[in-house]
Amino acid sequence: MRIEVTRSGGFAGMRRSWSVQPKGPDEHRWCRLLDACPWDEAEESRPGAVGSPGADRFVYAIETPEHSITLPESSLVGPWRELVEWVQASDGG
Amino acid sequence: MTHFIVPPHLLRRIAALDEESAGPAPTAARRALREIDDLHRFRVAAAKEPTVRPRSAVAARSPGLLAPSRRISDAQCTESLPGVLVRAEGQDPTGDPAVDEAYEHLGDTYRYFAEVHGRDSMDGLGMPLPATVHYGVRYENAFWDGTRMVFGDGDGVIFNRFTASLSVVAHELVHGMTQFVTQLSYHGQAGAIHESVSDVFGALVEQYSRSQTAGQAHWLIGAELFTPRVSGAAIRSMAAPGTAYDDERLGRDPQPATMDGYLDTEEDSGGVHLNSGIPNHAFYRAAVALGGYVWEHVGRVWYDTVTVADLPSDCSFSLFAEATRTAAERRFGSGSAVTSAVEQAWDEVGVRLPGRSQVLS
Repeated sequence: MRIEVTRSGGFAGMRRSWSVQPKGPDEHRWCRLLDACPWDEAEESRPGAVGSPGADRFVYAIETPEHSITLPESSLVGPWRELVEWVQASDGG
Repeated sequence: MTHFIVPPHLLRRIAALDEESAGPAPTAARRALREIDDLHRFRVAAAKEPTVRPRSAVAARSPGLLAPSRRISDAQCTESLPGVLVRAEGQDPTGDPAVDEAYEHLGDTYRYFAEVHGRDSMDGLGMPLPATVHYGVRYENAFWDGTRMVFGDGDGVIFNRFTASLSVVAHELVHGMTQFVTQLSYHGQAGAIHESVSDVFGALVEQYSRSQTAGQAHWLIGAELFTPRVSGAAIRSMAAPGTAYDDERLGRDPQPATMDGYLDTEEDSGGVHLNSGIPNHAFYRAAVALGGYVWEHVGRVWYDTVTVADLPSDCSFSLFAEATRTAAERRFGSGSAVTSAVEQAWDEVGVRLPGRSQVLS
């Protein structure tokens, strides 16, 4: 399993990626976190969410074997935030 | 206001001289006369129609009363907005560089729009300028959240604090203005125009505050943001998009300068910070072609385009270019040096204007 987070946008418009390939006992912990993310709800709200007011905010793309989602920074709360921060921390921050 | 050292009657006499005996002076004099003519037309047009177009029925303040109302808050390293108010208009410096830079740079930005365009704040009606500093922990960004400007402290490794740069603070305030006066969506080419407008006026605010001409300005956006560890001059270059930085960790500045390098991507809201290099470079080319103080010619054209032209939410580069040409014609006249420079600039970056299929000579 590979989980990849790509951050784009922001004032600087710089692209940055982090990824993790959990194995062994770690994999179960990651699966629980992935299951906690509301993928279906986020998919439905995606167009409006990405077009939310404001400018220069980051945009996060999350890729897993089963899901692919793009989220505005303002939606990065709860399990989404936990997931992104875990991936970032696991890949050097 | 522009002042010419050589009076017009003398310029006319020099312009009439023979080039073989008088060298380059007659050509320079003819150019100066054209600029005076452009300026005269602009002043006549400006007298006929107000620069500011209030979008509500609320009466604007009279020009003599224009003054900013800055409100700087401190998020205290959280991501809660607005944070604690730490410096309101007229209050003394706090000693916190982020707070005081935000206050001063918002003042510079307000002053530019008030003195050059007669505009009273983002909405043209004197609304307060709210900003929050110390957002998040080592947060490496600045943004406009739809109601306020927000600045991070940077990670200290790649980025300094974002308030350190006047062009960045002005960039964020101009996002607010663009939100108030246009319907531009923040995606694709319309979003790249949104971004470019913020860079254009970010550069102009800086040039105005430093009394710099087109030739003296560095045309960099965010020149103060990188730490010395980064191999780069700034975040973006309007003079040479794609060359602002080339760093081992960050890679190379990805901005295209012309339509040949246009990036078709879904990342970054459809490449808004990437393809903005194209309209940025068009503005730069028109500005340096005319020389002098840019806010007196091309800056006015862009301001009119944003505040007067009814740009659609999905505005394309071509539509925007056409709107700038129309604005240039209205301010300075068709066939004027300013209109020609604007047309030529769009042509040079590969954005086709209706009725223009070949490169101008």
